[in-house]
Amino acid sequence: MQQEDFSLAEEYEKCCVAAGPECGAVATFTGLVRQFEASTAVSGLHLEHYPGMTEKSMGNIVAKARNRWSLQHVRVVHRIGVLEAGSQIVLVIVASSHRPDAFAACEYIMDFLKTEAVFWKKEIRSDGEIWIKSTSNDYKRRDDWVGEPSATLKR
Amino acid sequence: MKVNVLFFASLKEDLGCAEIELQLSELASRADLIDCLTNELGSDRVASLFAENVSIAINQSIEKGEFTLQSGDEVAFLPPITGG
Repeated sequence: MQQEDFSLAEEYEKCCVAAGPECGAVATFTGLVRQFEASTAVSGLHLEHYPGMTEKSMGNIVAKARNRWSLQHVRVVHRIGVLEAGSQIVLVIVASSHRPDAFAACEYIMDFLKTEAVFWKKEIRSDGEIWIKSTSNDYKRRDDWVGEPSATLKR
Repeated sequence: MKVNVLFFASLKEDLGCAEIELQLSELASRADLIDCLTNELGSDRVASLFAENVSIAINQSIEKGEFTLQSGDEVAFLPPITGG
């Protein structure tokens, strides 16, 4: 977790080094601050967290993914503070021997970060500031993972 | 005994403070906490803290039911979270 921006290239390199020689697939996901939300201009995003509990929640999500799939390495970078529109917010990199595990675990981690990682986002819009709430689709995506066989894509 | 209470995000803004220190009796219950917070903040504001979509964490673990507090505990009120 960090306030400063991250470099996908640098984090990818660190992941590949840590993953070792059995790594044959690396999936990455980067989340950005949208510049428009429902046709309303967004100038930025304020990300608040709960020091200690936020790290624990992220660790639990990664641990569940590692328990479910065969993964060589996982890196998650999540930014906090005030981010301008268009900025990078979150990065998930998953390394595995084969692509199904890497794809699935990357998507799984993002779906759980949305609903179980202890962060709060406030959009700074042209018409005011709004605390963002998780959508029913966010919860559905998380809940769809329950009972799915491991190492398979759900969609 | 003293217990530290934290408020985050929209709750922090609505209450106008990030944390308060409460003086409670030993092994205070959830009901004791509500009483003490009501004295400090008023019943309307306390109702928003115990709304269905607000989670309560004791020492950074979510507590969904009854609980008892001990000296030095950290109680946090968490509005719905939105990571990622």
